Amino acid sequence: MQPGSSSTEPEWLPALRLWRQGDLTTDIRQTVVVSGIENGDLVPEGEEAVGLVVVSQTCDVVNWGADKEWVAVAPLVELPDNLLPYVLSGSTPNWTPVENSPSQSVVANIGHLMTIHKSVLARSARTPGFNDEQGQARFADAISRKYGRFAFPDDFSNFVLEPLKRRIRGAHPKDSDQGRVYRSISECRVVASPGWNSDEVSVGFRFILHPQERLETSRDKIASVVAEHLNKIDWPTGFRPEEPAFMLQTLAEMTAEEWVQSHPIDWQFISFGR
Amino acid sequence: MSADALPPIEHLPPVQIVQEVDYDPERGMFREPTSNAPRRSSTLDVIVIYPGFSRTAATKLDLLPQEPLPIASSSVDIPAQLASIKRMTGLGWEDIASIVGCSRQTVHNWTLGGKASASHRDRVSSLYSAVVYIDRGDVDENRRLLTSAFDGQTAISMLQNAEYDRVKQAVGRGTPRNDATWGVVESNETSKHWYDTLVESPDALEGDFAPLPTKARKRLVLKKA
Repeated sequence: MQPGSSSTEPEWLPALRLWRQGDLTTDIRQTVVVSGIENGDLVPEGEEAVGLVVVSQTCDVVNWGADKEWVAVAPLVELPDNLLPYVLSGSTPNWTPVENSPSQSVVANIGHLMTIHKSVLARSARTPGFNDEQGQARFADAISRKYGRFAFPDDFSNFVLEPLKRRIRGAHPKDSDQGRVYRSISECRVVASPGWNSDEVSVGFRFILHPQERLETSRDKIASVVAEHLNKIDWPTGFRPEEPAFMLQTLAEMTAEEWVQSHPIDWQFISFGR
Repeated sequence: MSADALPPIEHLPPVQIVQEVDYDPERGMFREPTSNAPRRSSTLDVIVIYPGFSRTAATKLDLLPQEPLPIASSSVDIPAQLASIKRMTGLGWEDIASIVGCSRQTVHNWTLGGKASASHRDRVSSLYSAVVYIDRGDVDENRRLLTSAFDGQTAISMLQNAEYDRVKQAVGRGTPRNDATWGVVESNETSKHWYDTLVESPDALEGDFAPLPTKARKRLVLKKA
């Protein structure tokens, strides 16, 4: 249905069209969860929340018509202080900060989603969630990371990626050789052959290098440090490194096929993403 | 006789133009102007391509082999070789086409599965062989070498003249690329580099959290539609 002149458009539609992904309201302080089934019917319970934040993409929020009547929202929740550093560093898949939430300890729990009718949203007092597009983009990125990240097998995460992550973090100053090596890598990806569900999985790492002008050290230095770290992995049963164990490639050197066959490693979610 | 064996055109004796024909480089055939039916030449001719064709075609001699031009069914994977050349050198399709001696559109058609003439297949394969030979494993370094001058001539210029052996000799052999042949498998730049974010993140505190406060819940009445 086109915006504007139709007499069948609801009167709250103009208010709806102000809403954006990441915007919040504290008018609604409850989310609905289903805790069971009785006699074939769902058992709904209302769970306390500080407010709601819009998770649906903006284009899906503002469009109205058949099968476009609903919007996904997440509760705003208050977290204890000891969790906040992890949330603010982007290390927690389920929680992400909202810039204009009532307080810094109130974050979006994007692991709990609820669907509400757009009229409910339109009639609620709206607070812009973010002050600029960068903030909105970070929120959208958090949602896509939560629901789009590849789930590596637990053994691979625990015994390969987690130790590798510790070595990469290491106790090295930012201007160290190791820092220069890993800042020359724009992304780390892995390929499993024949597939992650196989009994015996060969794993190869693809380290995507920045373009030449952004490299902070030489390729052979990068290869040397990476090889040293990968050689220390104690591979769990069912997994082994490919031969060669890793490749260094710029995007220009990588084929689309190689890209599609590989999965990115989200290092920050390795600990929390299980 | 290959085109490499001919002296430069300006050193050739005057030739009698017997017939002007259209040349279809993609099909490797000639078309008689009085008929749209293509035919293969079975004689050794020197063809001067007149204006109406690309500048490249107009300034180069296209020498036919004595035997009929074969259909370009190929045991050589031209698209794969072109992709490798492109990937190893960073050259654009325009540059690659110039080296191979055809138009950019022709090269593009090859990447879509279009058939290449035997002579063009040879040139692509020879170019690929030369690139693999000189490959330093670094696209920027490879490009630098190709654009560098050796005895007053760039490697690219030598390749355009099909002087592949001269290129190999001038540039030297690179380190064989350790291409993985892994089994068949069933950018957005953030403001901060992933490594910096990782090292600045707090240490993981698995199992060290205080339990989250339980949220109050109350039973709701389900209103049926």
